[in-house]
Amino acid sequence: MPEPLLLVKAVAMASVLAGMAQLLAWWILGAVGAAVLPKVLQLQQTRVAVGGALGVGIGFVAGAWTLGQWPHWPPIEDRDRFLTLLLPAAILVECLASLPRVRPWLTWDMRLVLAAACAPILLYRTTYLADLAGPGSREWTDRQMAAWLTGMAAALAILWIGAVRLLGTSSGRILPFALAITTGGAGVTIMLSGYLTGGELALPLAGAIGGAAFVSLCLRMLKCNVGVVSVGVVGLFSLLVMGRFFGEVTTLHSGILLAAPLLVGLPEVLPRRLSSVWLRAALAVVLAVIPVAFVVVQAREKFVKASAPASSLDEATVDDYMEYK
Amino acid sequence: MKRCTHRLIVLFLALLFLTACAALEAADPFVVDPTHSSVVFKIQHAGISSIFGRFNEMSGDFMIDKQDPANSTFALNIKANSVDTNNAARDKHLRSPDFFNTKQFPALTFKSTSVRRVEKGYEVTGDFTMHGVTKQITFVLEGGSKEIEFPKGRKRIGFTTALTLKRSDFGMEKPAGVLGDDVHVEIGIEAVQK
Repeated sequence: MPEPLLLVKAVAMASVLAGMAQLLAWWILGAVGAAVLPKVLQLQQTRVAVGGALGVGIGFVAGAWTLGQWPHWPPIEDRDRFLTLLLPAAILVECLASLPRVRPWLTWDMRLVLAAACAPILLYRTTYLADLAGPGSREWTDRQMAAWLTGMAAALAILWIGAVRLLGTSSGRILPFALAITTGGAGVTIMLSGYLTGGELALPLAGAIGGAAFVSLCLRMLKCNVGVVSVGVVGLFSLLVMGRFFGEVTTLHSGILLAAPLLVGLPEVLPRRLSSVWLRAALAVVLAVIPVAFVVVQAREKFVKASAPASSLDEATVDDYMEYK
Repeated sequence: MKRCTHRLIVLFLALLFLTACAALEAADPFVVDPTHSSVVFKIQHAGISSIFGRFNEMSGDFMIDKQDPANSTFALNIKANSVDTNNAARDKHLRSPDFFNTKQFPALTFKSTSVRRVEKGYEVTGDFTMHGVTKQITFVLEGGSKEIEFPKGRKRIGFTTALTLKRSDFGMEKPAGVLGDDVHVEIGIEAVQK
C-alpha cells in the first residue's frame, strides 16, 4: 500500500522542481540565451510556454522517480508508454507550438494528432485492440474500436481546446489549479479502483501542475501559461484512460473528472458588474472541486464495499492499509 | 527377378509404415482436463502468514513418449484473468497492471524445451512467460507412471509439481513490503488422451 509520507515527498518534490524548472527555462531562454539562441526563442510567449511545459515535465518525472516509478525502455506497459512517449510528445508539441513562426492551424493540427494518438498508444497491444489470447480473442469489434478511439480523441480535443480558450478569460489563472485538483482527485480515484501504481503517478503530476501554476500566479510575466495547461491536460487524460481501461474506474467517473477543469469557465457567464474577480475565482474553484469530491467519495464507497469482509470479523479498513508500514 | 524386386519394395514400404505407426503410438498426445486440474499459489502477507489463491481456467497439451522421454513435450496455458483469491476487490487488483496486467498479458504460458526421465517422473525444462517476461525454469513433474481409463476407453494420466517463482524476476516487484517476493506454486494436472 502507498506510504503517505513518500507520496507527500513526491508531490512536494514535483511542485518545487516544476516551479524552479519553469523559472529556470524561462530565464535561460531569455537572459542567457540572448547570445546563443535564435531570436524567436527569446520571445516572451515562447519562453513562458516552453518553461511551463518543461517545468511540469521535469517536476512530474522527478516526483515519479521519488515514488520508484521509472519507466522500462523499450516501453512495455501503459505507464511506460505514458512516461516515455506521450509526456515527451506533449512537451515537444507545446514547445513547437509556442514558436512565433508556427501558424495557429499547425499548432492545432499537432495537438489534434497527439489527441488522436493518445488512446491508441496507451492501449497498444492490449486485449482491447489485439488478439493476444488467440485468434478472435480481441475484446472490441472493429466498430467498437472505431467508436471508442474516436470518442476518446474527441474528448481530449474538446478538453484541450476548451482549456486553451479558458486561458484567455479571467478564469484562466484558476484553470491550472483546477487541473491540479482534478488530477489529484483522479489519482485517488484510480488508486481506489484497483490500480495503485497508476493512481500514484497522478499525484506528482498534480503537484507539478500546482507548483508551476503557483509560480505563474506569483510572477505576472509567466501568467496564462499554455505549456502548463497543455501538458496537464494530456497527463490527466492519459491517467484517466489508464484508470478506465486497466483499472476499474467507471466511464461516468472518467467523464466527470475529464470535464471538471472546464467548469472553472462557468462564472464567465455571470454579468461582470454583479460579481467581483474574487467571487468569480472562488466560485470557479468550488465548481471544479464539487465533481472531483463527488467522484472520490463514490470511488471510496465502492472500494470499502468491495473490500467488505465475508465474515463477521473486523477487517482492515482503507485507513489501515494507507497507514501500514 | 522383376517380380522379386517389386515384392521387396512393397515389403520395405510396409515395414516403413509399421515403424512410423509404432513411433506415432509411442508418443501419446494428451490434452489437459481443466476440471480435474488445479494451479494454486501462496504468497507471504505482511510477514506473518500466507494468502492462497488459484487460477480457475487453463488449457494445455502433452506429448508423452515413454520409449524416448526426450521426445516428450509439455505446454500449459493459464488464463491470468481467472485468478481467484476469494476476495473480489483483491482479485481486481491482481488483474491490474500493479500485478498481472491481464489486459496486456492475458496468459501465463509454459512450453517445454527439454524433458528427461527421472525417478519420480519427468524433469522438464522450458520457457515460462508471465507478465510479458520469459524465463527458463526447471521442475520435476511427478507421476505419469500410472495410467487409468476414465472415461472408459480414454487413457488418463496425471502429474503434480511444486515450484517457487520470484515475482520480481517477472517485473512484478511492486508493491513490495506487505507482500513477499517468493510465490510458491503447486500444480496438479490430469490429461486425457486425444
